Amino acid sequence: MAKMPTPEELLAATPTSFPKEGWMDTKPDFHPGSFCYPAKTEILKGLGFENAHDWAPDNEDWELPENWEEILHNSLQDALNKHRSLKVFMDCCVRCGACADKCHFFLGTNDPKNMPVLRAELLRSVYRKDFTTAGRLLGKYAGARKLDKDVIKEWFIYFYQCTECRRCSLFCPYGIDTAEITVIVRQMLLDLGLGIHWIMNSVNDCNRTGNHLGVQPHSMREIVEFLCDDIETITGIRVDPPWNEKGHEVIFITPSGDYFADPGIYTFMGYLMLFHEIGLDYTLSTYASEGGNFGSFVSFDVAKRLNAKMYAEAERLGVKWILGGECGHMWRVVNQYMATYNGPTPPNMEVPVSPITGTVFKNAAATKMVHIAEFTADLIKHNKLNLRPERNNHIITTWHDSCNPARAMGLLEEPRYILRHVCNNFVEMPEHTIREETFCCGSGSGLNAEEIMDQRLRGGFPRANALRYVHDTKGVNWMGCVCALDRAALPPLVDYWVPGVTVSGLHELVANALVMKGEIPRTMDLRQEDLPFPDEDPAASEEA
Amino acid sequence: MDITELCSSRRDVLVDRWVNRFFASYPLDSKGFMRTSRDRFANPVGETTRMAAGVLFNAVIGMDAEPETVKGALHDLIWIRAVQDMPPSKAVGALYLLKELLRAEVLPECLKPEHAGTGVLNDYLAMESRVDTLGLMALDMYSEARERVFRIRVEEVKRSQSQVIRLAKLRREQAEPASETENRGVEE
Repeated sequence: MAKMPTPEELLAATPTSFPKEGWMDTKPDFHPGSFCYPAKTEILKGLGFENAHDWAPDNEDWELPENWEEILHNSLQDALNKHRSLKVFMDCCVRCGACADKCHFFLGTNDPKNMPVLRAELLRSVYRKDFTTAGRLLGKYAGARKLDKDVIKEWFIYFYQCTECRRCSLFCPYGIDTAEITVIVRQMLLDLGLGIHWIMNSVNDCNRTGNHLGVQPHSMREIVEFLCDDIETITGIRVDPPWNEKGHEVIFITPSGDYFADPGIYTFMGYLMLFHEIGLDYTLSTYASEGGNFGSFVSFDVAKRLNAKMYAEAERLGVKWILGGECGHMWRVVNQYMATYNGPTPPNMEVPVSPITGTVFKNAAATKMVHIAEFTADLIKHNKLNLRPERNNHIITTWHDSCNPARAMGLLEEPRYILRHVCNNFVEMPEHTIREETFCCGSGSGLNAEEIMDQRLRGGFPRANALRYVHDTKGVNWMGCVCALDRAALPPLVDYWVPGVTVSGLHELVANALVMKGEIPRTMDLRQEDLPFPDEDPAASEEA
Repeated sequence: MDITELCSSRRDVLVDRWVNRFFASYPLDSKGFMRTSRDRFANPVGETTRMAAGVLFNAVIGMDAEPETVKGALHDLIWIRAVQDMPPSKAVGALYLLKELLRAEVLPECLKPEHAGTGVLNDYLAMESRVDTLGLMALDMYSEARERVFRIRVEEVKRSQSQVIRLAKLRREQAEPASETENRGVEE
């Protein structure tokens, strides 16, 4: 007769127990919730991935093509030839461990394979075996291992647990860019026909309609009309944005989440109100209807293809420069890749100059693309906006530095400058969780899929933990950010870890504070919720 | 002999060992970091666990504790473990491992002949029962956390489609007179 186990035995909770095998031999566990749904075969085929096939992550057999080893070897060889950076990253890591405890996924899961050094080692070990003499001769003793099907499964689990936020790179003495390694491994997996639905479906939509959500031109316009109706309800002013019109100075491009999903739509309303108020000579486009680029999460080639529409539309409409909305990875693509992907800029484009203040945005000389936080901060600096921050007095806000704008373009001061002018109560989160060291939302790089919500919640825990601190100690009830993925990913994160905090974009707060010429006294905010500190009604004051 | 005083005198050792039982849920390669990094923002899971264990230990051994403080600490601990991809028994069960530690460190002292008839054994058993109380509270919290995750998943889908839903409603209103929509009990 068998005995019941003790609780210690049941929980295997002996603190000194050693694992039975080393990390190379520890197999990943696949169960619902631990992986994203696979991309559809027809979608991958349509995008040109010739090894697309039906498969399921929790099946033992992933139905890989017969020559899968050759495909992967060639894929890695191509990547090494193309990206000198990858070769350096593969060779130069000294395993100092500086990155090990900097990844939000490691901090939230405490799984050692989420240490950036070990995540990269998942590829590096295969690289050593196939591409270095020491690895070929000494095998495991030189940190090398033979590529097998379990390694591919391990890549799928762990390189889809990296949000390409690049916090680890900040601490690496060599500046090894784990995000770049992640993109390349995801590309290699796609070469085998292995991708995830959430990303590839968005890529497909973007490829076909211009935006990730597959919104067609007439629908986009209708949706924006709704938002204009809402603006009229709130301010009494009818905003009428131009569409696809030639001859304007600026084209405005923003992520589709801004006009499609809560709470991004309030940020979009903020843009429209601001442009109307300053009389910006701009147009929207139903072709360049997406600033984001899900392709950048998985493949440099796909990213380039999706990004091309920005300059194509700027050329077609004859604008001088591009004003870009609040997005995260869009700005990494713009700042770090766009010039090489799609440059040089069309001949009609010029170094951006603010038509309102005359400021020359020399920092955007190469891309001709200005971030709206830079643009608005400049307007405020030149006293071009009539702001009433008291309307936001019920808000005690903190600022979440979205990874890509913070780390890939150094956009740190401008949002804070704006925030301080539109909100009277601004509180920073603790020192090492903000600015360049900001913690990721846990859902970046196309991992905001609903089926991995647990993974996202634990990956976002370090961010939420810092937010929770200022919520508990300083009464923070609002968190602003400049990233559409953040605006999608932070509300569930906050709902779980710090209920009572509202997430919004920066320009929602700007528009709440913006006093527009000819507007009715504001009694509600952009979400059409009653303002605790409404404007005084002049008619009522006169009667009194 | 006062059981609270006895346990207090061994608090540091017992809490540390209990914390290590919680850390045993994680792979060996991560435990060193969890144990040694003492910054609550740099090591959020480790430090939240440590802080919670300290509060819960005080409550178990019978020190005065605000119920809300105890609930808050337990909530912090369980809501982390509820989304860490471990079975419920593991997420909650490490709480019970305090009994094993108490039995090894405190019970032998209580069983000494000189303490016979002082009621200390009853106090000891009451203390163990408080561990059970924590376990029951944790069960509720674990279940509440999981329900929250499911609700969050549904709400995310709704949020991500908000404008489409609005558009679809408008088109339906345009296609059907309002009275028909109302008669069919369609929720707006």
